Amino acid sequence: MDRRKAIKTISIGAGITISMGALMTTFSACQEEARTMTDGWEASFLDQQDAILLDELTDIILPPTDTPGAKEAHVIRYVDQIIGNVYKAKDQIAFNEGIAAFKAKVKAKYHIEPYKASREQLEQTFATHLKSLTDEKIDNIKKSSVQPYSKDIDERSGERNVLDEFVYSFYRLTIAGYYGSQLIGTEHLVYAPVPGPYQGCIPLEETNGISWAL
Amino acid sequence: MPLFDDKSPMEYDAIVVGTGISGGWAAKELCEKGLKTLVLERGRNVTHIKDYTTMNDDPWDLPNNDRPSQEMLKDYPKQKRTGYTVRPSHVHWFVKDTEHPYFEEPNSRFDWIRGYHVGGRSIVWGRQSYRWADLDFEANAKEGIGVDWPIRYKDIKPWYDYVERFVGISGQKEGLPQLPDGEFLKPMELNCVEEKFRDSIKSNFKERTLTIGRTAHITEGTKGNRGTCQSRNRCMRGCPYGAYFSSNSSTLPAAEATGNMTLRPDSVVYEVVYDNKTGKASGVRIKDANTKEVMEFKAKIIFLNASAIASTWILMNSKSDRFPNGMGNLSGELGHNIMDHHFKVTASASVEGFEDKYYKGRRPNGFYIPRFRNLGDAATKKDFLRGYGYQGGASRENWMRGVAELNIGGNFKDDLFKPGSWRIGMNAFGEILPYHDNKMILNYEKLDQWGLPTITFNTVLKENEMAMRKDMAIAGAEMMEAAGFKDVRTNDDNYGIGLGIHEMGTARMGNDPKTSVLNRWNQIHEVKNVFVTDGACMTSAACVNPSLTYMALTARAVDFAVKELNKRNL
Repeated sequence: MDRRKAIKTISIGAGITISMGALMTTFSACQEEARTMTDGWEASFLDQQDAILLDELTDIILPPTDTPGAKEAHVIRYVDQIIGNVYKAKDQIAFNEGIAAFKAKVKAKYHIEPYKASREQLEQTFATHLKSLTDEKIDNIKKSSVQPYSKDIDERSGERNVLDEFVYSFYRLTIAGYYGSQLIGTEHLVYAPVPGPYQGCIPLEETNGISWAL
Repeated sequence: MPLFDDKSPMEYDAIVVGTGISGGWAAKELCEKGLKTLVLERGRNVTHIKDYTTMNDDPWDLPNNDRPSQEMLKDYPKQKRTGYTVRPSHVHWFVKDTEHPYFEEPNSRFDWIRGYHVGGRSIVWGRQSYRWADLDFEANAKEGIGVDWPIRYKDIKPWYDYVERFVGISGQKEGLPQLPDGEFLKPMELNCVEEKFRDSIKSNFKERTLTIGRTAHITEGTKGNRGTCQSRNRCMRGCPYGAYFSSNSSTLPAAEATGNMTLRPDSVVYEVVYDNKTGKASGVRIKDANTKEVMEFKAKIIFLNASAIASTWILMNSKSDRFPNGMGNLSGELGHNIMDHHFKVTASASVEGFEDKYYKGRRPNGFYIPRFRNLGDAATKKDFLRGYGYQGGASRENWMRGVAELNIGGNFKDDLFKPGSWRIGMNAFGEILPYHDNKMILNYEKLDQWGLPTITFNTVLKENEMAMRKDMAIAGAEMMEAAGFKDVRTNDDNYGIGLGIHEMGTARMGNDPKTSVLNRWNQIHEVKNVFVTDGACMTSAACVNPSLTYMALTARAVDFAVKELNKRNL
């Protein structure tokens, strides 16, 4: 327990450093306090500790700018719902194995409990792996993971790489969940539930260059 | 709706079995001609608008953003083959396969996609509405395929006019002999990329035309209680404006308004009763879907509009000394010649330019490229029979294009708020020939929950369809290449007969009772007071969406039936 306390103490300084945007050492980069789930929500499929980590990761993929970040759009709730309800049992298992592989990677790289890794450490690990996904690897993910819909085949074809699969599906779900959320759909994309007669060719300026939400 | 109750009579002037596209029309026409009509529907009642429970839901209002859970999919192993039926927003319009099983012979596949409720598939149909041409009606006779149609375009033309006026079909007149124009409401617009494609096709392929889809939507003004389309593209859930045609929005209210209709949902019709003394049908027997109680209703004329498969199932199950193999089956053709439209050969491409252009609204329609093969001249003749058309559309990519970028961060996120580049895609829909051995049989070993026989299908695609599919991909790609589109790709996806949900042909019309089930008026040759006017009656399939033709044939048959009744011929 002393170790945990020590990390917390050290991390207070680290928080300041981060916010100042200064260069960080591995030592000072760990999380200042145990992360909590945005708005205290509880996951129903994911392990709660994993969900807290993934909540952070959604916000790393799509951080706040002038528009909300993924945390504020509650993208983690979408991810938990889709994995928990829509994915087939084998894909659920692979997803959880993928999370474990991702955490192991963080641990191996920074010698730190993954839950306590800083935002920058998580970003480094995730982005590096994401960019390592070649077309060939993505093809393999699509082949080996079972499509949740319409295909009757229930067997994997091809070697399954759970880390690749996790990184890719989670990335995809984060994008779908963010732009498909109520917050982004109704307040930041152009929301027109009842558009009226179809107009086939309008200047893009009419929507200020922004996509329709629906 | 005026529902059957304890005080309702057991005897009527007419009985209509089924409330889908053609049943709704039979009910309307019979009631408007003054006949007391009992309308039987095997599924639950549906009240227009009130029962469209999901019609105003946004994606985030629906479970899993409208994706099916694994739990939900368990009940729909066959219905889910479409890839779109099993979704929280409209799954309640499709049967659970676990409750309504059917079977397939080994190495054969038949996708029987359907819903049991008042309105049937008229709630979820694709709404594309095209007329047949003499090219279609004459094809069997000219090529020696199946049997000749007993009618030609001139016989059905006034009835296309008649139903189109009531339905409201939006479209563009093109003057094409292979796709006759109708009485159209204002066409929906093409978008700027589709216009470019249209112009390119016009200048590069003289026998080909791109037009806006002809669709059963009100695009100007109102019809009765039906309003103008608002481009929400949530048609499959039921429309709060009644802007597209369905039995619920259109024909059943018209039938109700006459005061002549009695509707009985939850009525599984399983037999048309044959009276040996009169040589006619005396009525139908049903089992109540909930109580399983058997009831018998009598009528002077009977219209079977239960769908191509279900109407034929009823006839096959209606056995008597006169018809040991099913009513009207002296020819042995009942249950055979199942057709559909084969599709899922697609062409798609990315489109450069038009980055400053966009569109407004979710148009529930696309473009249509009518048939251009085998039009009767040497130039369009191919190494297969008949032809196909394409349905497609162009649009701008949304945020999901970001997945391919494998990028993260604020700039990446903000960029995905903008629409991406344009893409265009289209899907070919082709004619399937009538083959005697594509068939359904009654399965008495596996009974349904009412103790009635189930159906086993044996349907396979043959050489003509496979040759056509190759041509669909080639011709699709060459049009896109000619338009200067980039990265043109074609795909032949997994198609099984039935997946087009245009199943037809199981009780075909013909001139000769020895080779067909129905005559030129959709009457059973040997049982003159039984009419079948749904997809079962079709002698060939053409390549266009069939519902408009079912409507026209139904109105025509009712007109004939009532005249015959008044002449005391029935």
